[in-house]
Amino acid sequence: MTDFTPAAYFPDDCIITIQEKGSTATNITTDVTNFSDGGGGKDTETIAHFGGAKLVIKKPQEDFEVTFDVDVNDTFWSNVMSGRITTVGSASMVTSDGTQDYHKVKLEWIEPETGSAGLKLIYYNALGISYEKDNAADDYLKATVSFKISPQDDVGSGQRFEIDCSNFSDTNGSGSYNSWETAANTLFGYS
Amino acid sequence: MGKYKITNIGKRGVSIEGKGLSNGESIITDKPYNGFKIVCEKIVEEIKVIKPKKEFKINEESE
Repeated sequence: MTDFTPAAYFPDDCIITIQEKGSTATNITTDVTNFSDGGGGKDTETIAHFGGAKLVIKKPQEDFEVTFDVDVNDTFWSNVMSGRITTVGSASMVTSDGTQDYHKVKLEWIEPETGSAGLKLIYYNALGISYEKDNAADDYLKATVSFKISPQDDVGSGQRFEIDCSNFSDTNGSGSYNSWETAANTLFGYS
Repeated sequence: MGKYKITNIGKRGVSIEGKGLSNGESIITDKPYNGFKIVCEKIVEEIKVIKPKKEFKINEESE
């Protein structure tokens, strides 16, 4: 009898990066205390007709919404909401009169025991929609940051990618695991 | 064109041309990069002026 082992990914197995379009990718893994991915629903509507006939209408897909609970100790997350940033040496100032820039948000889990498998979630052209800070007397300064991602861009290309590889030793599989992301980076301008 | 020195002065790691940079680390690249707490400096190469060892007279034959 085949012995099956339960498989699960944990926060320690994950690397999280954010890349503003035209900028460098920043590792935000240790800023994050919680991640959630919602939205993207594909609703339908059924319209009854005479004779018992039913007409099913597929509604447009909802936007995805990605939310992070994060620590706050600089202006990094404000810069996600407003591109109006001034930097002098090690000091940065973000003012609220800027618009949101497009971001690539990526989470990648690598199988921790052997590193032989992986799963990644990539959101292209994510836009920050909210940044709410909170600091209770018995807690530290933290915030909830949310992004919205349209399922497709203006020419119909899917902007949310979920890619896995169950065996990195498989050259074809691991090659595609990497090249699919590289091709998408080029397509969306995040090279 | 030219060379650029990219330095990460932030507390988060950044990735440039496939190389991870932690706080205070630098990399030399062929193109400029920007980002949060990223310092990009163009490397100015010194131009060496080579002086001729011997002076040449113009129109030496006509004189």
